[in-house]
Amino acid sequence: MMNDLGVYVHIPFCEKRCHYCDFTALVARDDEIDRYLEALAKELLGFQSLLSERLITTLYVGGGTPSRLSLSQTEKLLQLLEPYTGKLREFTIEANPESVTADKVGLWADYGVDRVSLGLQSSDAGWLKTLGRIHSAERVDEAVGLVRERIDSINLDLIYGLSPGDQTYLRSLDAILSLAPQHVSIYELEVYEHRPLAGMLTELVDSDESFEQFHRLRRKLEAAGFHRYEVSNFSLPGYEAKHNRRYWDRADTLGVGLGAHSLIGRRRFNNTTELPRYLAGDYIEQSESLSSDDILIECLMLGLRQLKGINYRDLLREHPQRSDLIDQYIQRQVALDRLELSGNVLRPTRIGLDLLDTVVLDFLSLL
Amino acid sequence: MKKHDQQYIRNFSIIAHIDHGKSTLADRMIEYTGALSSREMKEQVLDNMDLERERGITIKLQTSRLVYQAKDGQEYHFNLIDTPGHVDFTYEVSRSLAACEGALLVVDASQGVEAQTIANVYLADKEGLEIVPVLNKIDLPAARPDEVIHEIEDVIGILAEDAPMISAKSGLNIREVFEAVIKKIPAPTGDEDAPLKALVFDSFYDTYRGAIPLIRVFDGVIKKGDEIIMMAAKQTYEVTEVGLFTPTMIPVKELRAGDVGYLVASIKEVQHVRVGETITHKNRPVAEPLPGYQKALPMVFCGLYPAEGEDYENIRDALEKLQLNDAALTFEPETSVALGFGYRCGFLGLLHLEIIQERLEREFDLDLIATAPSVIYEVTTHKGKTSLVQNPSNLPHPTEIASFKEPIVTAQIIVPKEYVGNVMELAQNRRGVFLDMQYIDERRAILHYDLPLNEIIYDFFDALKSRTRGYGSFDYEFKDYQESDLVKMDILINKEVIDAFSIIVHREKSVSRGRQIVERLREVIPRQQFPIPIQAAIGQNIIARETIRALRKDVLAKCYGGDVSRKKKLLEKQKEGKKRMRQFGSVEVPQQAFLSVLKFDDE
Repeated sequence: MMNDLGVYVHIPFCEKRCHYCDFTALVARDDEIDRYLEALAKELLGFQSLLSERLITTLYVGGGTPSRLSLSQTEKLLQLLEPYTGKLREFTIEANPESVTADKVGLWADYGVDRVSLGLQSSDAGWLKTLGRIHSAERVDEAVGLVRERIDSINLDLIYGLSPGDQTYLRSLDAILSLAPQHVSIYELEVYEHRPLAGMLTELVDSDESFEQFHRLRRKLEAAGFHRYEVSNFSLPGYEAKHNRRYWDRADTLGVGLGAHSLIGRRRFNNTTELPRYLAGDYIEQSESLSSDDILIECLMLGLRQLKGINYRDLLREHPQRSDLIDQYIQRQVALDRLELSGNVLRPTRIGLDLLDTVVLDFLSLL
Repeated sequence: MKKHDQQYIRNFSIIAHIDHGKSTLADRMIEYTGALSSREMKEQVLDNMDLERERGITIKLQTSRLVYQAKDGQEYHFNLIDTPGHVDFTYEVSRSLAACEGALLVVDASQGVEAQTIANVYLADKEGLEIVPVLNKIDLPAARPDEVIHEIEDVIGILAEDAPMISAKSGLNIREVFEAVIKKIPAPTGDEDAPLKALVFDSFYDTYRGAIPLIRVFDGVIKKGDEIIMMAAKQTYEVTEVGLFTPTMIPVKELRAGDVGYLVASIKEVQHVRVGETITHKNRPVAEPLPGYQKALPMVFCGLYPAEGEDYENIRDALEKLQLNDAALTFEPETSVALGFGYRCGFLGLLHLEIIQERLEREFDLDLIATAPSVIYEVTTHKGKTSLVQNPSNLPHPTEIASFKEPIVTAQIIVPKEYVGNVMELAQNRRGVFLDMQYIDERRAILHYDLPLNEIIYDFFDALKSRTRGYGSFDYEFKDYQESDLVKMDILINKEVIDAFSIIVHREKSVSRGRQIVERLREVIPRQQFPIPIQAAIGQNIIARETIRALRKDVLAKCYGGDVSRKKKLLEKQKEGKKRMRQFGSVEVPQQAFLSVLKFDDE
């Protein structure tokens, strides 16, 4: 386990940028995409020794819109990744409904992709337009059908918290459930000042409304047999996202591609978000070595996002200089009914999950 | 000029309503006589503190000697003595005026007579000064000199027909001002051979030479080497230097009867040379000190606490430094259950309080929490013990109080007549007792009210301005202590009394005030995991209540590889914000909350 690695590959290209999106995503010409794939190949080459000495267990191609690549570009990318697919336990690709074709699905499956994450977001035509999505609700059904010809495991994303009084998010979940995915992520809409959506919404959802909407969705998902295993993630038993879990477990992950982030041992580093720099082979933008307190904060901030929680004994063992503080903290959070400690497992309660930012901030304030 | 011939000396002040051009006129006069080259002239040299410049008011006095070649061919020495321009500093103003034989009354030719103008004229009158009106801003299109002359004659009762019509800004007709001073203000008539009698009308602190008093010599002569005695403080000193302000300090051999200048005598603190003090020679003292000496008495108090505990010592150092130059500022250590260790500070008035608070924050970079300002109450218990209370926490239990008195001031308010109704309503709301009203002219009325000081220390002036579209002007002086139905109101957060929020309030106003405070607090205290009741109470009686709803969701939806660093930074930032909060039990209260209870509007 110590020696395993997850690999994330970023494909930053989109047909059109969504109005809410704050990720590294851009609309590019075909020849730029070709050059990008070449730069990606070079970047991977630079990590050859790391990649060869580790057991690569998860591979995740995210975006942007990986399905936006043409058939030949898709094949080129998959060829690039093929050397690392031998021991995979999960190989996910992200796709948007409008660019899924039978041919692409065929290629994905041929190269070992066993999980597809589709950005459905909403089943309401009006909201899809406001969000700047270019697919239609009908296209989602078709895309899921195409994927299911070859790949069984599907995640569908849903956005809630669109506006106070909005009822469409529940219908969207119905639409999702009717497609029988194994995994559902429900994300609260984040409105960024600098994105067009900020100017399009007249009224934002407050935390009370967000709370209500989330828990209506949660109850519906649980009634349909899904279990919540992370703040925003639900799955059927055994279908938890293995690659994403690595982030919350702070397991080593190498991110390649524009703006991708990595955690290898004590080091966090991330790539540039500027395409010209990336194409010129100037990949890394920032790198920091984490202090023991940084790691401790991350353990709480990420680990406690999961219902399985974190190992209390390991926490004390790895941070002996903070053990009194940790105990004092846990005692207080338990008293507030935010965390529970049973045996060696420290896990969030439902209140704790809902207030996780406050829970983590309380720890920071003790340092 | 014959040396020390008093007939060629004129000692005078300039009095005016704020913004009517007092400092600008002083600048022009200094510039005209060449006391400073215009290159040396900063705008308004007499106001040399940053804060004064920003607020456009004079707090600390400055003085200057001007040498003027008059039309009669004689050379005159003018001592221009600046006066602070705000009601909080009435006593300082009166002592400055006592150092003069006359005063220039500057009136804005478009604004006319204002409340402060009248208040200052009363003060000058009390000191028996000759008042010389000057019409300023005569070049403004809105100037109405004829009407304003009428106003001065009607309302103030002095002849203004031949008042110089000037523009201090452009320098128009400045010379006429000098000539009017010579013609109308009497020369000093002190006796040089009599025992030394000099008045301290200001002082400032010099790091190397100690406290330096500004003095007016009435009788006698003072020079280096003299042994002097401060008659009120009963302290003796040896004079090491005497000099003049030009306005830079110039040492001279001696100061004689009629002169204005400074003296250096290794005086350690400004507290030892209080304004109003009489200086005489140790071996040949005058029989009686000059009349009118008062110890500076703080009228308004508040607690100042460090926002962060480690600043406690720094606040004391800063207050001590400010006190070197400000005899009216008092402070003593105080402990609050809610805020920890701090200081209870006394001020002449609310402006004085604000200035000190701002200087502490700006010049000493301190982060402060100020409690609600309070006045001094006179409380007598059933056992017959009377005490002065300015901190609500020090009040005896309500059942022990036999009599509760509060300070009352007499206020004069001048407003355009269409706002008289608004002002009466405001004064009524603030428990004012109407005394009388007169019309100054077709447009404006002057109203007199007795008002409790605790009703005006918060925001009376702001409320007056907003109800009169900025046209109302206001001044007040202390009248007496009066029995009143006062109660202590506590604020409870999550059922816990927060002592720093407690205030003394009139019973009739307690409910509305309590409601305002709990509403404010509901707005500024962030939501937390549990609902938080906020209550206002008199004793056990809850008179107002609000609830801060529970925070139910506070979590970042997405947190994958790329979000970790960003999220950590965000948390660090939030942690900084949290540091500035005060923890009361399980409730965190931001500093802003302490400020928000100070401001209140009448509904």
